Amino acid sequence: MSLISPNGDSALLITLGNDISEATLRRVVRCTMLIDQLIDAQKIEGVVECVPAYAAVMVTFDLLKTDFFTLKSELVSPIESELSQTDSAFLLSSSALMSTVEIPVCYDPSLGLDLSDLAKHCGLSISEVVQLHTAPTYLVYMLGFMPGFLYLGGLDPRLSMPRKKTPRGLINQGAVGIAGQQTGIYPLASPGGWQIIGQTPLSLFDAKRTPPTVAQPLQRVAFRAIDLDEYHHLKAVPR
Amino acid sequence: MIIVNKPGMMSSFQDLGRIGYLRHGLPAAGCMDNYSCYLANWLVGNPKEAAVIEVTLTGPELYFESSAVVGIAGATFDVTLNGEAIDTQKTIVVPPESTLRFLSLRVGCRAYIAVAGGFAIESVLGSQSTYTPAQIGPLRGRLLAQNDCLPLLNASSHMLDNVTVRKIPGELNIPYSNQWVLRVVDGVEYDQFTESSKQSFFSTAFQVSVQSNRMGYRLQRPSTSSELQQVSLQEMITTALVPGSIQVTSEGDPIITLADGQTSGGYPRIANVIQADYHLLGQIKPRDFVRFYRVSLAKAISLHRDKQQWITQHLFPAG
Repeated sequence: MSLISPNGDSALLITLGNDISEATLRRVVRCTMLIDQLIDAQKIEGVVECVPAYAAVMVTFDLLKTDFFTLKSELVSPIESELSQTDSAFLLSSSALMSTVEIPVCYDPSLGLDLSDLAKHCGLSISEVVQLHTAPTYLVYMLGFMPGFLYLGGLDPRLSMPRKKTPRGLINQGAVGIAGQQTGIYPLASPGGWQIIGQTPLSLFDAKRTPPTVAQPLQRVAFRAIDLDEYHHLKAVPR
Repeated sequence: MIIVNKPGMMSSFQDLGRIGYLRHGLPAAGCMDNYSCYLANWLVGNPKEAAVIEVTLTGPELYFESSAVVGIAGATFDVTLNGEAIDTQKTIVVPPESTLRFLSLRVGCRAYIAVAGGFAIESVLGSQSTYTPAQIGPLRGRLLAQNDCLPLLNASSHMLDNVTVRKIPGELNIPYSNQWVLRVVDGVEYDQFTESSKQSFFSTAFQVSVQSNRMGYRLQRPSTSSELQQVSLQEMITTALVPGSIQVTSEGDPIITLADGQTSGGYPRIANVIQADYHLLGQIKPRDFVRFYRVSLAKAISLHRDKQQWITQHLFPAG
């Protein structure tokens, strides 16, 4: 059922599906939690990191302590037994994951540089864009691309717009954007082609926080519209 | 205390990397060439994980207020101490009020500077590696800059007449050139490439693009060679990425993910550089040529283990 394959000589990949769906993601998160537990209980040796993605879990390891063949044989049956159980017990035991993380976003046009372009492209008013962007709870699929970047699912298809033809040289840290069917937040200032519709005062990666990121896979995120005053206030207050 | 008179093109503090945050999207960073970091630390009797200064292509000029014991390994530079040429294969005893200056680069790309006892620098999330894209690490996550003051952990306690001078065993000197062969194992999506692309991947000398950095090396095909292609073009679901992965972009060129590389990717991976050869990547310069040689997974595992044993035997001979 699960497919364990090498990923270079110092990592392996556990493939748990071939689609982007909440059902596959649940398997990914359950598998990640299981491996974390096996490491904590010292039932497996040599694992360095366990990294969940959309449809697979990557496990990196120290080649001087273990290798693909050893680890695969140690992981196969615990994973199969975990995944043979239904989701319901898992859902009960991980209620913390089910909480929704609120991310304040200021959609003022001074910060949402492409807000009016996007509204025009989608045939909506600016307030309709804000309403449609703040209505859903988005599912966190994975973190990657940049420290703290959340791959989110659940964008209203009415807000879909392709990337800019010419990427901006610099997008501010905290910029909230749309690219095709995706919405996301730039955790760092960087070049990029997303359509920028707002800005969060929240820091998406903070080394002083535990964990350093604001949400984990399978958690849900909602955007709350704030005005410029609240934006500046929240930005000034260290959180 | 060390004062940075000139920082060099790109010098930063690095250790063996920040472990445990890939799932938060934070790459490990760390020395591009761990092997040379180990040798530099060995020269001064430090543990191999102690933070060092990684210098790239052009080296720094450092002023030592107090005495220190220094080790340099990796790329070979001409180095002077107070104007006199010195042998960088050996432990360097630096008297107080001295200037250590890096001149021309001879071979390789990155050199590592270790100081006995280590640097008194900030540790962030369990590591003293610098990850400049997110400004994480010592010096607020930035490169060394002119007039930086770098405090040392055991500043004044040094007895300079009682220093063990070590010399890097000749067997451990890896010959660098501008032509490299890296051994690889099959990548996760290896089977998705056409037969002719696989053949061309292993028979081509790729040139390292000037658009290469600690995040990744872009490789360029010779104009005579065709792009690397998949049997059928399929959209990949974004997945976790490890350093050493060789992805093939939509233009058909390979990119090698490195220490600062993104933790996730969506291009097919044709191959992965094996652990035993990964440290060589740190010494590859833009415009160098790289070829790939395919080995089995079992071979890759034994090559890494044998190499580690070989290093230990030479650095710490029994008895």
